[in-house]
Amino acid sequence: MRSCFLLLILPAMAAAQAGTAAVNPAVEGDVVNSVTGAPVAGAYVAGGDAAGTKTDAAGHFRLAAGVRSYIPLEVMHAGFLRRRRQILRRDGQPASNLRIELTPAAIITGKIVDEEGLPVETQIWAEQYSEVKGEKKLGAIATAQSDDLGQYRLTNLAAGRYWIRAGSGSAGSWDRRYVGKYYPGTLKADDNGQIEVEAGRERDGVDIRLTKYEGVTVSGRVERPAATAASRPFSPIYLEADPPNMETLFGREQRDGSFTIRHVPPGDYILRASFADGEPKAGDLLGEQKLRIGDADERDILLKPQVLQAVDLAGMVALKGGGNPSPVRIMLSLANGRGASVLPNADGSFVLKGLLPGHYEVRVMPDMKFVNGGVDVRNLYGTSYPVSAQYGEKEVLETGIDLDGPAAGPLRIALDAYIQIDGKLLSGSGEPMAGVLLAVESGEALGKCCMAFADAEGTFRLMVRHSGEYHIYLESDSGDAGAPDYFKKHEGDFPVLRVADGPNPPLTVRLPAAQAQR
Amino acid sequence: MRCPGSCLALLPFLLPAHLRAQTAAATGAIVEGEVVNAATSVPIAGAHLKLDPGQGEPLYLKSDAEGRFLFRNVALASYSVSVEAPGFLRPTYPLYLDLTGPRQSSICPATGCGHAPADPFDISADADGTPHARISIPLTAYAVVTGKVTDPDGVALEGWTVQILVKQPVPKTGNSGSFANPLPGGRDEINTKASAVTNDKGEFRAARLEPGTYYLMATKPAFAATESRYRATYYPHTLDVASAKTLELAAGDRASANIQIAGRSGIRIGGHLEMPAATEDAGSPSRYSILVLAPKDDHLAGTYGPVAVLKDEYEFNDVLPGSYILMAVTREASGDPFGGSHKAVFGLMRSIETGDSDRNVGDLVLQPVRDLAGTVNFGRGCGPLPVTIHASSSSPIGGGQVEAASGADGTFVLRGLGVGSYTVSLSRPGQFVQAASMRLGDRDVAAEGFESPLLNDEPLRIDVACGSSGGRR
Repeated sequence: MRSCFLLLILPAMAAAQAGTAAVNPAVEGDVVNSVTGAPVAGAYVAGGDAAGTKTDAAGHFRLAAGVRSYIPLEVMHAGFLRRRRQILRRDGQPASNLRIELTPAAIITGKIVDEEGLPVETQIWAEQYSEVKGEKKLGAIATAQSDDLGQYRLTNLAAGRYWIRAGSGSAGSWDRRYVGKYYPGTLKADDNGQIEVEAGRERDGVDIRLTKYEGVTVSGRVERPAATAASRPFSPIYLEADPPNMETLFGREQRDGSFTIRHVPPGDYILRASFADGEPKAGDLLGEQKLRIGDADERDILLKPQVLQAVDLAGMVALKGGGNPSPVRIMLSLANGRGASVLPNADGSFVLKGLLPGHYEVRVMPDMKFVNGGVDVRNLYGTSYPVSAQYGEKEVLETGIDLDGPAAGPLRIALDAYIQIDGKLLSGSGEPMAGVLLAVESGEALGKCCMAFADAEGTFRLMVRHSGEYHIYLESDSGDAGAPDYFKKHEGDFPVLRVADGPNPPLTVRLPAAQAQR
Repeated sequence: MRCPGSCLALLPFLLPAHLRAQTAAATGAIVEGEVVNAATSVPIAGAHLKLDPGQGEPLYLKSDAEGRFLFRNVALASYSVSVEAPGFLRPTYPLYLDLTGPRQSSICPATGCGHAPADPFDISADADGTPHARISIPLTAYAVVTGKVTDPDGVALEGWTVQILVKQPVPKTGNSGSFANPLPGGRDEINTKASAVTNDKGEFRAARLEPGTYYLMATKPAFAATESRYRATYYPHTLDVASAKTLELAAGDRASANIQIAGRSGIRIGGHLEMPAATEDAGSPSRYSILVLAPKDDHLAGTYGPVAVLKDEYEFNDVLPGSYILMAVTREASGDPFGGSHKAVFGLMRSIETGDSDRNVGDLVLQPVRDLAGTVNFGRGCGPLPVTIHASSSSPIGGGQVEAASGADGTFVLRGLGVGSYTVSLSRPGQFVQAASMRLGDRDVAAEGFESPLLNDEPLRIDVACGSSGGRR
């Protein structure tokens, strides 16, 4: 999660920093295989806007990066996981002797066939569990397409455990009784099906035989509001797995309003009649109903589409202990990425407009400022963070808001001020340097961590939520913040930072001499 | 559940409609035929057939060792007929079987449906009156091309797209595909027929190819950086279509074709961007500019950029000689994550010829991006009807579609245009509206489209003739 965030932010930072560049020598280094330590020849090293280069037979590269002080280095070679690393150079400072490890990719191959052993052309997903709001959920990590022989090859996988799922594909479009399956042949992922792969290893023979499944019949009637009955065409009816799995069953509303969807496997679904072109908007007709399908037909379902009504939601934002709220943006967002956002008035009041029914997450962000078209990285956090959001009687900051019909009361958001620590980042030889710092609270979930960006003068401002002990990490040159053991490995890189409530003294973060050379 | 003898009598009423039909010979038809290899007339055993009535359950069958199939007691309905056999192309035309009419026939007119025979099924009545449909279905074995894509040093390249291209005469009327590549001489053009992406070993497999003559071209990955010297390369190793080798593929052929990417250095193109002088707030910090250099004709060669503008300077590196359109857009960044795409405020399109040496294009003065106002005029006798005016562009720096609805007086304003070439079309809910003419000043927009940013506030005048669909009252 964190490295994703960095990747999102850093291109913007490039724009922010573009103005501070001076002449710099090349970026130089070696690319090695992380498993064998052998040099990787022919790897392509891209440097953002700078022209890229290739490693020689000894794995060495030299990138003419020109005047750039920030270089989003990207190193790739067929058969290896792509590696990203950000290089931040203070004016005039070389970046040499970089050692960049490329990890050989793991590969899973197999064949998808139907009941008769004939090849199936379909999509295959490699899935892994991740924790979403305390719940373990399978999500796709990589995908591949099987060819006309039914063969697939999932490449660019990191070492780990995967569950392999094949969609019903060409078998399903030939005969709707075919359903997608997990390896080795189950409707749901189970532990027997997990495939463990190591870096650089190829696991073959992960074959899936798709089978027909009679399932049950889901039928019923669409009953539209009378006023709109004549003005809209018949609706397609979608039966979508809940949570979605990219395999949707279709039906069609008949002239008499009836619909029938056959061969539905058991599971949780959302039945939907949509009269909208594209994404639903206010004024569109939409009918949705949750369905749990078991071993028996579901008949006489009455699906009643309603005209989508947009509602406005008023609220207040206030800083705990009084004072003016810092400039923030209040955001309500749906799982599909839609939503509304607003900048509150000077007195903290706001109205979020045009919200369609749905489950919204509540977020509070600093009002982004732009520098040369990029996000101002000095203002990533603002000066405050949300501690609570009351919607009517309910606390919704963590749980979100279910909107359906008129709003149930104002949304009251309380903010608390960050504790600010101003500081300077110095190289081993005492030179100020640019870089990205992370401050992670000891013993706390990593999600609470904050970043600070040191500019070319080495100055930065850390924002933390609580007093306590923090570990400091430098992201600029060590890369790999996504590795599971990264935080453990690097927690001793810098002395522990003790943060007090209220004002804190300036902080100097100094690299050890050896690391400054890297 | 076991059924006691007495309830067997009820069985016909419990069964779905088509099975009931099968038990009642008088109401069912016979559908029989054979599946053969189109090139050799050899029967295809094990071909899968499906008669799909749309609503209700389809009928399935497999051809026997002689390639023959026979459906009995087929309910008198209309069906779409599908055939699949491993290694063969599906029929290129839709097969319909209509058993509902008094003289059953396919729905195709006497002239046929495209390539389809006018009446693929021969339908007659047997002595006992049973409708009997017969058909012979020829299938063509598909060709496959496999191969490997490597860089000039022989290193496998992953994620490159291999386009399978065919040479076709330029259509005499109407538009070519927007990505058709004209060939020298102007008579022929190249179109993409299929494509495949290389895997981690640089290997690709393009299957389901009709017999024909093909060019192959490997193009760069869309979402990964590659060495800028590496070019979209024709099989086996050339940038020039004239020296590209073709593959002659007969039905069922398995061909191998390796492509070695050609590396060629180009020149640097650079310059300076200037915002319109008269505009207030031209240097607002929330504005940013991006540029692309798009080849005029060779769509397969790919576009340079987008490059961001650092301060006011821009540069493109390793550009090959040729004719390009340089496009620039300045956008207004928004802090609202739901604010939609960033609004284009300034832009520019300029033709550029590049040669063999570095070139400074000089100062580019951007123009404000304007809205386009206009009127829709209806011919005499058909009153003004509200229509939607669409302007669409496939510009590499933010194409897309904008639309406006005409008011009671026929006026409209197209807002939110980006930078690029736009084509204009009209619509009404559920129908297509043909414009008799579209003019912007003295230019014929129906034929040429228009370029945004527009240089002045000339209105767009659209005339709809009364006879055209949608204009009629």
